[in-house]
Amino acid sequence: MLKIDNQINLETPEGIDIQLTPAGLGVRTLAFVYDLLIRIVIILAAIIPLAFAGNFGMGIMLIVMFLVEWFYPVIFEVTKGQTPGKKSFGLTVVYDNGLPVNFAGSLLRNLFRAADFLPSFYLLGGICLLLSKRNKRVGDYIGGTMVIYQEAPQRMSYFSFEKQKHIELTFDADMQKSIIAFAERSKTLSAQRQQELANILSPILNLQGPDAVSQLKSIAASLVGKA
Amino acid sequence: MKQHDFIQLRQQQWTEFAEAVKDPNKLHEYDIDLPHAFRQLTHDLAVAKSRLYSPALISRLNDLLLQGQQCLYKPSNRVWAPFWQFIKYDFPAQLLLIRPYVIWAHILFYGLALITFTATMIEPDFVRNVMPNAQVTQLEQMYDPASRIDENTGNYRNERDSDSDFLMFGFYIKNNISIAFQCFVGGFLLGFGTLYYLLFNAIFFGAVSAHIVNVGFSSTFFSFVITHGSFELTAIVLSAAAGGVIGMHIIRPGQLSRSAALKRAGKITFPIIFGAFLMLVVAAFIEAFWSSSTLLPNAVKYTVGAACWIWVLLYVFPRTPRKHEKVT
Repeated sequence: MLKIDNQINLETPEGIDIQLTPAGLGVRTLAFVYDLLIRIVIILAAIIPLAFAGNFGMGIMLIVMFLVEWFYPVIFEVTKGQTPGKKSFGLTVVYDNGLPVNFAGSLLRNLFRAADFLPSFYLLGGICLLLSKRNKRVGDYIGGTMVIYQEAPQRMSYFSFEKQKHIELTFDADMQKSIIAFAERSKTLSAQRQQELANILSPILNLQGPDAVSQLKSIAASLVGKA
Repeated sequence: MKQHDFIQLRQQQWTEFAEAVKDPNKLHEYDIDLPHAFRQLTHDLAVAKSRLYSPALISRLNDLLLQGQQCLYKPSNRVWAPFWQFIKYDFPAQLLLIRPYVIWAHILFYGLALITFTATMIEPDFVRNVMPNAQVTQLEQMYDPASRIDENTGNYRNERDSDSDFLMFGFYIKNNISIAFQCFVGGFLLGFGTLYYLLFNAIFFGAVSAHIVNVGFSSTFFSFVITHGSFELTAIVLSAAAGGVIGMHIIRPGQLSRSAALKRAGKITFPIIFGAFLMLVVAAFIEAFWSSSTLLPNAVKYTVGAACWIWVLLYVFPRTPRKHEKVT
């Protein structure tokens, strides 16, 4: 079956598939830039007071730069599972088996930024990421990690509906699923878009526009057992 | 059972589960049998999928399961105990595993260093092939015993201030780690990068030390490098050995696919790189605060330096377990 998304299925020991969505190049670049800005701010904040401390300050400065360069992502990934940049874009780092990353994995994937960076501007990492099924850069391959979307806990949507007169129609399983999904998503769609979607079924509903929408919702409600 | 009834029936437990797994560190505050609740949830998801319940429901259960799984199978995250375990057992064990690479890296590095050392002893101008004149002059000044005597008073200068010791500590860490890292990452260019950096540094090291001997500053130089050199040079050689492992796994993955071989190489070399990193921190510490001290007599430095070398070599080449001790 051709997939329109890049979700991957992860089988747990309990024999169930969990779906994960690996994060692509664009959003990861944005997260990286965000983190880069934070790192620059940290370094600047360190430079200003340390500049007055002479050579001692310079030494501390170099150590701070070294730590920020290599350990900024590690510290955040180990303690929180995501750097502030990743957090702002809803990403998180996990092992290939979906478990949160710990020190070894995080250190490995971040040390290998040096390899990803080659020849410059993360070219190797970017190419590797685009060619990879799970959007992994070199560091991710070495560390056995991946970056996934951490979806906001989804609310099961309760859609409102008005009972319409019953229409005798039989739908196959997929169609039932689509209709229920339509009703549950309806809150996030504009009225025009809802009608546009509902109009697709107008040949069998014999209804148009708002009428088709409310009829569909009513069907959905009876399908999920609400009415 | 219709979806609505199913949700009504199970909702309560899902909410409790979601509440409990929200923060893995506060799990103990909830009275929940997590493994049981988790299995129940996987069952719910399977039911929901097979009965074609709506995507919103399935995706909610999916998210709950992901969180639950992360809670239930969370890898341990302690730092200090594993740290000690690493120094005492894991690092030497891993070194044993890649011993041929470690031996070859040592032979290549010290072999070539010795050759260039001899070459420079015989033909002193050889050093100018390795580095530009200005750098040679700077180097000579650095180790010139005369530079320690103040021109005005004729007395020995005071020790470097401790604040500049700190500066050098930061500098050494950054410099050495980048060399070690180049040696390692070079492994990804089929190991040629590793070979290049390792041999380049060997030539440099051999030529420089011979040149210092040629100009007659050997006592300031060797008393300076001997102590931290044990950790620093060994760490660099070990990084190169790790780079060699990576390169070899790419060239000859055996029965694994190349990506699987690379992953395995990553697993093997991670402890080596981490260990080398620790050694470099120790080396930078010694270099900044001990080696540079002018108060210590050279005899002390040589003794401590020799002790460090013996310890490091014994540590890096642990005894091979005898046949009957071998754990398969």
